[in-house]
Amino acid sequence: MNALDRGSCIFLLGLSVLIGLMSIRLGVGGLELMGTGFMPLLASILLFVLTVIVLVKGLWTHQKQDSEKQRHLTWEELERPLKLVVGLFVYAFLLLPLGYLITTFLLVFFMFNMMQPEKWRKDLLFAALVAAASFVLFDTLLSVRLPSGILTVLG
Amino acid sequence: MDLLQTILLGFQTCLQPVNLLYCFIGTLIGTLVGVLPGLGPGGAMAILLPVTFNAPPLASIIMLAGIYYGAQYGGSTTSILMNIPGEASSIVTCLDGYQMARQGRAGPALGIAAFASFIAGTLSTFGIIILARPLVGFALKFGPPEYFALMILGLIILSFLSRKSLIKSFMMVAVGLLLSYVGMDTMAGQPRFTFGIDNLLQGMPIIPMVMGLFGIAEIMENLEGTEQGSIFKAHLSGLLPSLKDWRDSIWAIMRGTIIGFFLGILPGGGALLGSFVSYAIEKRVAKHPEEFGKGAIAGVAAPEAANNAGSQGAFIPLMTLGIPTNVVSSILFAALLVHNITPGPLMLKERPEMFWGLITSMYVGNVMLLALNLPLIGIWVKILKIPFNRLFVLIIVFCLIGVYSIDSSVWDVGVMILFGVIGYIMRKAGFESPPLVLAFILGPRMEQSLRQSLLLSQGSVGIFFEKPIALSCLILAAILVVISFSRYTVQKRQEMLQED
Repeated sequence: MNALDRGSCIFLLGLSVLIGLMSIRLGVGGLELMGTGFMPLLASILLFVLTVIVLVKGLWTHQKQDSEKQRHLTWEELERPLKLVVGLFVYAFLLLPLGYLITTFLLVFFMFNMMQPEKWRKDLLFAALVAAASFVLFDTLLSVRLPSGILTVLG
Repeated sequence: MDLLQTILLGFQTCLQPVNLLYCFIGTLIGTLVGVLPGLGPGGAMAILLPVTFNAPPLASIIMLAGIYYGAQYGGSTTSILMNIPGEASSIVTCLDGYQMARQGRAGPALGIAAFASFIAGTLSTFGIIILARPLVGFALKFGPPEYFALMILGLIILSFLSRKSLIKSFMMVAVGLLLSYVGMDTMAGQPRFTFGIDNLLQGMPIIPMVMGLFGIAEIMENLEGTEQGSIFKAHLSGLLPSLKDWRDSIWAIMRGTIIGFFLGILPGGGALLGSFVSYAIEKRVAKHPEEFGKGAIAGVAAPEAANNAGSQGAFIPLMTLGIPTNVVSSILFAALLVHNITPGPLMLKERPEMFWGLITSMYVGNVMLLALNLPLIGIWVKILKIPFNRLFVLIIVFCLIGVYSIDSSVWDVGVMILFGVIGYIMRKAGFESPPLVLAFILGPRMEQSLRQSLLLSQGSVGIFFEKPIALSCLILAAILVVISFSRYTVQKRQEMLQED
């Protein structure tokens, strides 16, 4: 059992306990009249039991060979997925205040640049093109209301 | 309405220009998704779902269905030319398809894959037409206990068929159920697990969740590597298989169609299972089994027929019982609900044009796919050369606009990103998303069915054992659980995981 397995199991264990307790507080009711917490309690018990089985199996059987065989991701492999997530969360935060055009331009440039940092001039051009073309296609032609943000002042 | 009338009604509906256009778009996107390794039909359907909100309901569903079965056609191209399956259901096609390409027979391999898919798709469409009505009649006998038991069976079969750890699949079922209970309990009028967040009162939004788990997570995983497979530089002329090729593969196509279709109907089935089983059977019945894996044309024809038949067979439980049995039908289920259409036995009565229109559109779609995949094969091969670092940016932008357009809400964008991260971690930790999504979709219906059943029986669980259909489903589910945890199955599964 590797660190990710252990971490995810501990998280799920905590989640099942939390939801189980909250379900009891919501009211479990009885078989004749199921309360709001009845099904969530059943699901949390199922999750708890299965997670304990996985944890116990992993910890007590000492599957050293398996864990040795399991390949760990290197920083080089993780770098781009992590950068993408950070970029996307920043995008979500800036979307309303800055508007679609500016945030999408910044995000697309960031993503292109992440893949090929040496071609930044070309990337700037592509980013502007993608942001503008997608805005025209969706906002103007398909009537999807995309946020204007600070560009509202331009009318 | 007799059989001929229903077929005529279906064709009359699906041949309307708007439906034809959406069918073409769906099959085109499906082929593209199938050709491009890295983005599956589930992810593509989730991404395009918001685009269908302003489109006519039937046209939307026809397009989404086209993406699914279209991807089965396209998936064979990369399997044969690059030895990389475009779709999971095309994994087996690599075994003999790539070997045929290496021997200079890429053309006949691609040709027989397209023809096998077409024949299977056509026969399956008629299979659905013939089976739909009796199945709908059967489904009308279902009450809450039967539905509850069937949903339990569906979840267990899906977990049973998972390619990774069985216990982890069941864990994902539990997580999916828990997520489905977030929001207002409509029966009691009480909020659950909302943590004071108003946005959660309406529950976890399904579309951003699916887009995150499949679309964003898939892109994140693809960003790990930089290497792209090399296209086998084979001469692509002579796509039409010879008479000998047909002789060698026609019965394999027929067997693949039957196996794929019936395995596709099973809850948790779909395109994947049939392709593996049909390949194994062909190898067993072949006069020269030693040729399999070395470029046997039957080894391409059978799984390609099976995956296409399976992808269409998977529509039966959704259309007749109203129960999605895999991720793709879950997305279609969500799409139908968005358009205020409840799939199930009553759909045939209340919306016959929609029911038969969708089914016959599959035949029309198969004709389009044959035209798209044979003469235009050169274009699809060229598309394989588009660098992923340009493509993924466009997919992300499309995801962001799509998810924002649902409700003009940044919350949905955040949910999609969050589930993208969760989906990525799940992939790394060996958890599969399909059981989670299916449980999420079925969760509220399961709770409602259980509540109604227990109200009917005044709190006695005996109601599930008194009804023959419910009892059969529960017995089958119990058998599968026992088999799942038997020493033999555990050992076999561990061997399979190690091979992976």
